[in-house]
Amino acid sequence: MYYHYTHPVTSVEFDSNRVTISNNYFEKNYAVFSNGLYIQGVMNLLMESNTFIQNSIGRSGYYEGLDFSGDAFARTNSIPYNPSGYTTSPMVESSPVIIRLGNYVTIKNNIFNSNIQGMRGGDAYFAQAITMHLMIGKDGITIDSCQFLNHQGFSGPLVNSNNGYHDFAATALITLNFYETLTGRYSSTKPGEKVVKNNATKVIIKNCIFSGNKFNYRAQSDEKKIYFDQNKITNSYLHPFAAILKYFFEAEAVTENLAIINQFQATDPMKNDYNFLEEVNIIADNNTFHSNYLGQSMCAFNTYWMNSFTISNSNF
Amino acid sequence: MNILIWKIKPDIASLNCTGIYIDSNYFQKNYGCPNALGNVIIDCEPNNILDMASGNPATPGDIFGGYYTTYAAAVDNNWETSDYANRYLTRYLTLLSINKGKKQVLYY
Repeated sequence: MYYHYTHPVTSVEFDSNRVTISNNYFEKNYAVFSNGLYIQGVMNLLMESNTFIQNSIGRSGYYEGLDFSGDAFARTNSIPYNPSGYTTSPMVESSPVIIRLGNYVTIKNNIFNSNIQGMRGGDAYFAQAITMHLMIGKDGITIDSCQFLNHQGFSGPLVNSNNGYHDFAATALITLNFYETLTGRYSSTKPGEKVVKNNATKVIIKNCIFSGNKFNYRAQSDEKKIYFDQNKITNSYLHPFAAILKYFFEAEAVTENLAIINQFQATDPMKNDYNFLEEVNIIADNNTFHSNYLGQSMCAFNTYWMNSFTISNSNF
Repeated sequence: MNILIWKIKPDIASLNCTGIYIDSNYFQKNYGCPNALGNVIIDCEPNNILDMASGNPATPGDIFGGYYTTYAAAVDNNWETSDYANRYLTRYLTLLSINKGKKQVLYY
């Protein structure tokens, strides 16, 4: 149902009963955490026809290029941000879109081109394009007619693999997890045991184009492999790298919220909070995968956590 | 940071994080200060209350978890909510349902 609203001053019309982000253009914005949109606590979100291109973290090399000859840093001779200067392991990643604690999300006709998630910082749940964290699985997620293009990490003189500046995308284009304490779907008294098996949440990725992306995995300690073992979830330090869609467990993610910005730290990678999993059906339909490079031991989708995974009408 | 919309309410229902419309803007070459955390941020947080058990500030995750757990428990009990429903549950479901354009699924 569309809730029509006309602003009394500007005469702008929109649906007043949701959050709409449309027709915006984000290019070469640099920030830690979120270089484009950060959206938290929205129960009905439409993102339509936005463009995100070449957004990334702040890095010293950027500011030395011609693009930035007239910027404030150059004029004031300020010291640009350099993640390598940190000793307390803050986050050194950024996503163009972060959606947190959201429900009923539609992402349609957006273009993601040549964004760089950042340097190797261990937070592999941060996506090159869309990071969805603690989503509420009532009404599902639809990613429709979007383009994910040319995510290839740093280029040219910015590449320094020793410092984590790779010439490839080191994390997936889309990462996702759901609120895990959904006790109706997994038992709180018998960890890992399903209580019900219905009303699964749908995550639909359709009519999208994935092209010109170049992936490889990170250093060994950065990725955590989590698997089921006798109704418990445990881990090892192998490489469950997924290039297109990665599900991550909460213990991989930050738990702090935006209000306490000085405490952005990755949590202990292994906590005993894996008892609850969402039932999620993944539907990937009518997508085009073209000219992507996937490095060692990788797949497009990691499927071990899904209730079902359907891929159809794809063009490889 | 260019835009920050930050709303805090005691619970999810009263948050009602809707009515935001950001359209046809151009965000380019925003370099941020060192440690800049974002560009455009919409942050609706139900966290300005204390946790009832501990007295410590509640986190958004805790608040969402309280609603969500209750909701899930109600589903598991075929919507027999006598053991689980609280005064927030109906409001929460109402919010979700209205936002999706559906009729409310639970009354009590």
